[in-house]
Amino acid sequence: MSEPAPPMLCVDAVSRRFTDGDVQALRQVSFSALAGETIALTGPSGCGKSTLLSLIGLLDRPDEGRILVEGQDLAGVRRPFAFRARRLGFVFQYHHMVPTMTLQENVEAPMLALGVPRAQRHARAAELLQAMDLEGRANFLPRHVSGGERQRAAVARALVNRPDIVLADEPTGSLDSRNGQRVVELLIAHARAEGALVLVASHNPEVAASLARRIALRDGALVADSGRSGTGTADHSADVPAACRLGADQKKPIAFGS
Amino acid sequence: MIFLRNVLRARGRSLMTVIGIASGIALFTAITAITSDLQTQIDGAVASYRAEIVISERRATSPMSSRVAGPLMDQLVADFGDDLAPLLMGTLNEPWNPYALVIGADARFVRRIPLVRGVPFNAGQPEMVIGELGAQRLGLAPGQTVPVGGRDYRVTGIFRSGSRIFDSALLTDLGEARRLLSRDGAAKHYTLAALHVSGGRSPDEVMRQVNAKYPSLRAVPGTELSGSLRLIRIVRAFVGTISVIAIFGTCVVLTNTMLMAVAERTREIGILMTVGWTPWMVMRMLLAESLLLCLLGALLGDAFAIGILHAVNRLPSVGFGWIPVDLPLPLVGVSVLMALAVAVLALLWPALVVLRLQPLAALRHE
Repeated sequence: MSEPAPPMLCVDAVSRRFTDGDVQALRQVSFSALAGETIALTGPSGCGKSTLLSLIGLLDRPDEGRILVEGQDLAGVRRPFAFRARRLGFVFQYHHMVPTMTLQENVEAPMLALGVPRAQRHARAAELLQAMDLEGRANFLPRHVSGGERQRAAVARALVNRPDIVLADEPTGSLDSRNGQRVVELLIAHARAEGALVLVASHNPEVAASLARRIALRDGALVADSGRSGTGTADHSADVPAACRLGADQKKPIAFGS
Repeated sequence: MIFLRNVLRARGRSLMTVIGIASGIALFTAITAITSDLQTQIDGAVASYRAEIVISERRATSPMSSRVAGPLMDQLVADFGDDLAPLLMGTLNEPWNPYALVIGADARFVRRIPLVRGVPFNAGQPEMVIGELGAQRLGLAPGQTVPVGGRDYRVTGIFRSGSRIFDSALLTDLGEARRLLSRDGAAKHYTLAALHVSGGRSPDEVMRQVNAKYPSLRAVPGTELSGSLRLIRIVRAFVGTISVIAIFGTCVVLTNTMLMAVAERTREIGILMTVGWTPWMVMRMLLAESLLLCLLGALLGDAFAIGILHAVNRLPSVGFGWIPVDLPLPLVGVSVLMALAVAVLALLWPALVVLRLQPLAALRHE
């Protein structure tokens, strides 16, 4: 019997409370995910999706629990900026492009953080812009392109350093249905090609349905996980190594949609 | 050229910032140019007259306010002979120049001065030689007359010393100068003496001898004359004060601009930090913008300074000739360096803001 693939991401009993407003944003959330998986984080507004992405993206710290990327506890990351540039890709709801940078420069920005030489930066950014059907828009400023084009450029930026994990927070929220679908398709296709784990926070059922696995949150708690097969149940205990042990309350199978 | 686009995105603010920086730089540069030029002109004139040593009254606050009594000067002449040139100097308020510099000298001294046209004046006659700059401004040529102290003086020649101050002066016989400059009943006196050290003697040794023999007099090297002028010392202190105020003012202007830039672009900075930029990378971007604003400010400030010098040079109330109209290249360099230093100093506060910025909070910034 072959060894189970080690998880790319382990979220172990993570809780986050915001003292401002006294909000319990996350409660003992646990799950693991493999490289190449595409996961939808679903749930109503305020259920903790964005908070979870922020914690995985090293933009915030959990009050309890831990998050491991390939076994490395994020609490021990000494250089969070370099970690984000090297291992994580971000797509935001409102494109979040730097307005004085062209699409090409926006896409190159994460490579600048890693000190990638100019020629390599240009080549890689051009490759991704072409893949996103944006080669004719490379030298345009964000304000001169459509919302869909901006979001495709944001996807290119998220993938440019070949990250291990792509975190997308409502990537279709500001787009119409057709453009939104296209962005998700491109994100999934290219992230798969790069072997990246994709986590998409969305309350759009169509977006969630297009991803292989769905994790539902409600009031900060993980309430459903479709599992890797997408059949409706999941038990990760068996394929999670001891170093990445999950919280006890999340080990039992959870029926998706319950 | 991201930094250029960032500067141009708030064109009005960037323009006002550049003008603010330029004003500070112009103030510093123009005043420094006038002061340093004044020193250069005085030192140049002393050098052109081959006066290695200048002897003046010890208690005088500056050589120009010195009064050396006639008998004392006679003793000096007896000691040094033709090498010593007693000079009487002063300014007159004439309709054509409110600070007309009149220098009285004897014939030996006048012969040392290179005439570009005409001949030296004759002693005891109402004659003068005039500096080239003064002749140009007044449209005078040898043979014409100039009214001084209520009397017409015939211009016999035009001299060039290389010093704008002296090249706008009137040079005449000691007796005529005394008539023009001395108060009624005042005892015969001189302003100072220019001593040429000849015969292979050491100027330092000669100075020591003069200072020892004549306790009421002070002998200084000709090259230090400008430094011992009280006016120059006052202006130097003034320039130092103005420079500090100018640097502080430009720092305040630029700090305000960069703080506004950081505040307006907090979300962008958050995006860049999220994709991996460190605060130092953000600061480098801001530094490039700050340097660009300061460089433009310095160049515009130097242009302003040249304009100010031209304008002041033409003011009749200032007197003609002694205000420079050009900026020496080293001063332009200093002004640019000063502006670049301001660019760095002005980023200290914005840097603290960026360093304290949390990417998540920055992303959510409205």
